[in-house]
Amino acid sequence: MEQNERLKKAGHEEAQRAAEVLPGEKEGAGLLMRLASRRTFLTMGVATVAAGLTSTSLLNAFLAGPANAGKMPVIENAKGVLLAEPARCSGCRRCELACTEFNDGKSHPDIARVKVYRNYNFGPQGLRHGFYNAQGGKFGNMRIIQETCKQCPHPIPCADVCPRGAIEASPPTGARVINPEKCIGCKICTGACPWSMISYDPDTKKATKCFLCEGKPECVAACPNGALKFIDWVDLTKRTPPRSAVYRKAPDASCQACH
Amino acid sequence: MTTYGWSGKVLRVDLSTGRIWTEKTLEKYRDYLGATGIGYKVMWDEVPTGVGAFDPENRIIFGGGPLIGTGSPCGGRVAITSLLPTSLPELVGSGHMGGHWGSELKFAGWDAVIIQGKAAKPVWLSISDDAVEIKDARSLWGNGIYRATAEICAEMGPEAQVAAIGQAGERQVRMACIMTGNSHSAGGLGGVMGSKNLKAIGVRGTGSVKIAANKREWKRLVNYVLSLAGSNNQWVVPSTPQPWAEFHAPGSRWTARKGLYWGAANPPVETGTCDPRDLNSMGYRCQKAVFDLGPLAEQFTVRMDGCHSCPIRCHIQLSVPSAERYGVSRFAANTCIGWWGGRAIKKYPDGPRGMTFIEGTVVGKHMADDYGVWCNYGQINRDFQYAYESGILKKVLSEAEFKSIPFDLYEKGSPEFIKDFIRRIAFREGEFGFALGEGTARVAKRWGFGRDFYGFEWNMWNEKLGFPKHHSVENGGQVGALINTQYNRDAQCHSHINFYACGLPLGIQKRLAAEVFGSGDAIDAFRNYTPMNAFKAKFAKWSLLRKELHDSLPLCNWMFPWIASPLKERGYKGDTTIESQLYSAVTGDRKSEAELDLIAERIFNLHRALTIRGMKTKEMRKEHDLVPDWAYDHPRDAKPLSPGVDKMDREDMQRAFDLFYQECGWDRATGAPTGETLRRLGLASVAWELEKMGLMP
Amino acid sequence: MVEKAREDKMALADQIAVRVREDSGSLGKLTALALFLDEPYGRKEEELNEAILSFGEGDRRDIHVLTDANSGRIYLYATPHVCAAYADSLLLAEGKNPPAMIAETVRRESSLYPRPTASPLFLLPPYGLGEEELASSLEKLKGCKDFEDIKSFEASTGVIYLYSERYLTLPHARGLAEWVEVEQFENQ
Repeated sequence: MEQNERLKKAGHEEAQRAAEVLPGEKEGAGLLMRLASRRTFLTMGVATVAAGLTSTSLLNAFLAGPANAGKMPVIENAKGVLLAEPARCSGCRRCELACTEFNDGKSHPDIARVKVYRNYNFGPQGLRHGFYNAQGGKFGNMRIIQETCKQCPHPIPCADVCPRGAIEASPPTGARVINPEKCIGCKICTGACPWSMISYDPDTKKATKCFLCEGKPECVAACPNGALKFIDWVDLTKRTPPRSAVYRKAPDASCQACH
Repeated sequence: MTTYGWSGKVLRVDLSTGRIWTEKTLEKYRDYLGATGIGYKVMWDEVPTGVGAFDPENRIIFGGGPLIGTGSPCGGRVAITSLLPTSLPELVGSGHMGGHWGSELKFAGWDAVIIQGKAAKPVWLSISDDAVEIKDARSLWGNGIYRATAEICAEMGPEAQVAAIGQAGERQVRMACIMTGNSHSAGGLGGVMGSKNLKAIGVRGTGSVKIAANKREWKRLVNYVLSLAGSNNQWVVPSTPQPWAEFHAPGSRWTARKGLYWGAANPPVETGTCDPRDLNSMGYRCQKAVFDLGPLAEQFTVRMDGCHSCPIRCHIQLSVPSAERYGVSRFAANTCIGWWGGRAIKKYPDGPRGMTFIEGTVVGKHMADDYGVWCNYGQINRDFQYAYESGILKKVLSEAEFKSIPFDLYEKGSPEFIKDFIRRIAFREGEFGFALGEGTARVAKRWGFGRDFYGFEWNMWNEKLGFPKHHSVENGGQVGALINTQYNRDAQCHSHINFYACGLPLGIQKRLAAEVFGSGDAIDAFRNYTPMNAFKAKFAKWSLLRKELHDSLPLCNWMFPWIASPLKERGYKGDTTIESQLYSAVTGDRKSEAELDLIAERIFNLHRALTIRGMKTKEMRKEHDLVPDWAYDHPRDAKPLSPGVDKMDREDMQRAFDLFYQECGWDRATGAPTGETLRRLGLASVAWELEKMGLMP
Repeated sequence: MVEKAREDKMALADQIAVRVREDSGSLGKLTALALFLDEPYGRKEEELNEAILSFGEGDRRDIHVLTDANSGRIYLYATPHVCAAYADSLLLAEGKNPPAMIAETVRRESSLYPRPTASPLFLLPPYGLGEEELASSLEKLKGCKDFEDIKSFEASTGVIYLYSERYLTLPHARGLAEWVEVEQFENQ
C-alpha cells in the first residue's frame, strides 16, 4: 500500500516534470504522438520485438542502453483495432455488458474497455450550457459516441508511463495488454491515456484495458446494431480528440538513440 | 460473502427525520424478488388503511431486482410502487420506467430505495455508491425535469442517472409522472414525490453486479435468449414480406425492411432485412417512428433508443427542425403512449399523420416530459375532449377562464394549443388545470360527466377507479377483459398481447398455446371469440403472474414472456423458462419455472390483499373487478362473440370470472383469495390480518 | 479424363450456387437457370440440367430448385436468405399474371392467419406491382370466374382490402382491417 502511494506520487511528479520539459507541446494536445515521448522499456523477449524492427542500428540502440538492459519498447503496430460507428449506436450498452460479463464474470460498466455510459447523457464533452440542442448524447443531439482503445502506435502513452512495464503487446492481435502479474494497481496508466480508456478494477485491484479478446472482441459480437467493428489496425489516434489531459514522461537517453 | 444478482442492500430514507439506513435485501425481501414484490411487501407491512397517497406515512418504493444491471436482455426496467393518487380511493399501484436509472442504482450497490416521510423543505437525494445524502433542492424547485436533471448531473457527474419530477409533481397534481433519461416516465406517482418535497433521486454507481454462472455458461444463455427475441411486444414476424420470413403481419412492430431508414442519422442508417439469425441487426428491427407517427417520421428519425441492456430498441429519437417554431427543441424522444401530448388535438389540418401532427407530437412530448404530466394512458386528452365537445366545459368554467383557453387553436389543430393545455394542468391553473390534473375519476365527478362518457368511444374501463382499457377485450376477448379488471390503474400487462399479437398464423399459435396451457382453445382467432373456457382462465392467470414476475426480476413485460419466437427451425416456439434460467444463472439460486411462478403468485395475491384492505371490502367481484357496459354492447348491431367484433356476452363473462377465480384459488362469490390460497403462498400473516378486519371470504 | 469432366461439372454447380446465394442474399430474388446459358457463363442446357441435380444436398443443400408450372422455367434460390414461402411468392410474381398472383396470395392470407389483405401489399417486394397495374388487376379480378371467391371492401381509411370468402366473412375481415388501419394505434 505504502509502495503504491509512493509510486503514485512519483507518477504525479514525473507528469509535472514532463509538463515543464515540453511546455510548447501543450497546444498540440490533439496530437498524441507529440504528447507522449518517454519510453518505458518493456521486459519482452528481444526476439519478439526484433521481428518488428526494420533497422539493425535501431535494435542495437535499444540493446546498447545500459539502463534498459532486457527492456524493449513496443515498436510494432497492433494488427487490429476496434472501430465504432456512432450513427448506428442506440445506447443499449450491451457492449459494456459483454465486455465485463464474458471476460470478468460480472457486469461492471465502470471498468468496461468500451465506454458508452459516460457519453450517454451529454456526449464526450460532458454537460455544457445549451446541452438540449447542441451537444451530443441523449439530452443533446442524440448522437452517442462509443469509445474504444486505439491500440496506440509507438510511443504508447499507457505503456510508457507504467513503472513496472506491465503493458505489453500481446499476440495474436498485438493489442496493448496489461500483464496482471506485473501490474501493481498504481493507476498511473489510467491518467496517461488521452482518451481515459484504462480503468481500475476494484475487485482485482489492477488496471484493466482493452485486449481485443484475443482477436474475437466480445463487444463486437454483442452489438445488436453492428455499430462496432474489428478491423485491421489503422491509426485512430490522430482522428480522435483527447478526452483529458494526460501524464507523460520526459524523453530519456534511450529515446535519443533513435530520435 | 459475494451476493450474486442482488446487491444485497435496500436503501431506506425517512425525509421527516433525515434518517438514512440500510436493510438486507435477502433477509427481508428474498421471497418477493424485487421491485413490485418489495413494493407490495413494504406497503402491506408499513402503510395502514387510512393513509392517503400524499401523506408523509405513505411509502414510495423504487427498484429493479436481481436481473437489473446484468446483460439479461430487456432487464433494465424499474417499478415504482406506492398509493396511486389517481385511483378513487387511493389504492396500491405501480408506475414503470426504463432507461438506465435502475441499473445505475444497482451499480451503486442498491436493490431498491424506499422513501417515507416528508422533508421540511425541497430536497433531492444523492446516491453516489455508498454515499447517500439528502440535499437542498430549493434552487431546483420550480424548474422542469430537464433542468433539474442537468443541474444534478452537473453536481454528480455527467454519467449520473436522475429520476425527477417537474412542476406538476411539485404541486401534487394527481396526474403527474416521474421521469428519467428524458423519455422514460413512470405514470401517476409524481405527486407522491412532490408531497414528500422530494424533487429527484440522482444516482451514480461505479460498482458491479456479480453473475453466479460461469462466464461460458452465462454467455451461452444470453445468446440463446437473444436468439428467441422478436421485435417490440415480441412480434416475431416482420410487418412486410421479407425474403427470410415465412410469414408477415401488417400490424407488426418489426418494421425494418430494405429502403427504410433512420433518416436523420448522419449518415442515414438503413434498417434492412434483419434476419432473426443475425444478432448484430436486432436493434434495427423496430423502426418505431414510422409505426407510431406514420411514414413521414422516417426522415426525422435520428436513431432508436431504449433501456439499459435491451437489444430491442423501442424509444424513438427524433429531430424535427420545424418544431422549433413552437419554441421547443427539435430533438424529441419517446415511444407509444409517451407521445400522448400530440393527441390532445383531435384533428390536425393536414391529416392524422401529417407534418403538423408530428410537430404537435414533439411539442407535446416536451411539455409533458419537462413539466412531468401523466396521461392516464391517454385518457387525459379524452377527459378534456369529452368535456369540451359535450359543452360541459362551458358550464363548469367561469366565462373569463373559458375565454382564456385558446379553443380557436384547438379547432385549427395548432400545436400552440398543446403548450397552453399541458401548462394549465402542470401548474394547476384555474378550474380547468386543477380538475383535469385530478385524474379521470375525480374530474368526471366534479364536472358531472354523463353516462355517454362511459361508452366505447371514450375508452373508459373502470369508471369507479378512473382508468381506461389497456389491451382488454380488443386483445384476447375474455382473457384481455379479465386482465383489465385486476389493477387499480390501467392494466400494464402485456403477457397476453406479446403472444396474442405476435403475427404468427392461428394454427401455429394454437399449437404453441396447447404446449403451455394444455389446449389450443386458450387462444382464439383475432376478433372472432369463442365462449369462455378453462384454458383461457389459465392464460389470463398466467399472464398476470408473469407480469408481476417481470416487474420484480425485472424483465420487460413489454417484451416477455416468449411463448413464440421468430425461429422456423424451432417451429416458432419460444421458451417460457427463460425467466427461471436467467434468474438461476444470475443469482446461483436454482429455481424452476414453477417455483418462480409461485413467487409471482405470492406477489400478485399480495397486491390483491392490498386492494381488498384499501377498499375495505372483500367484495371484489362486485366492487372492483368491473367490466364496462360497452364491452357487452358495442357495436350495437352485432351479436356478442361474433366474427369481426370484440363484443363479449354478459353471461359468458360471469362464467369467465368463475373460472378465473377458481384458477386463482379465490372465492367465487367475492373474488377474494381464500385463507387456504394465502397460506399456500406463504401469506398466512396476511390472511390473519384480513380475517381480523373481516375481509376474508 | 473422367475426373476432369467431374471437376468441370462440380465447378459449374458451384458457380451457379455462388450466384444464387448472392442473388438470394443481397437482392432477395430468384435466379433463373436460363441465365447461365448466356455470357459470361455460356453453358449448355444439358450441363445445367445435370448441375442442378446436385442441389439440395451436401455442400449445396441450401440451394433449392423451383419450376414454374405454366412456363416450365426453372428458378433457383438459397435458404435461409430466401425461404420457401417467399420463393413461392417470387415465383407468383415471375408468372406475370397479377390477378392470379393477387388471388393466390389473398387466399393464403385469408385461410392461414386468418386476415384480409391490404391491396397496397402488392406494391411491395416480392410482388412489385405499379399503382396502375394494381388498380387494373383489381378490376380484372372482379369479373373473373376463377377468382369469384375474392371479395373486396374499403376500410375507413380508404384502403382497399381483399379477402377470400371461402375462409373469412365480411364482418370478420372488416373488423380485422379496422384494427390494423386505425385501432391498433390507439391501443399501444
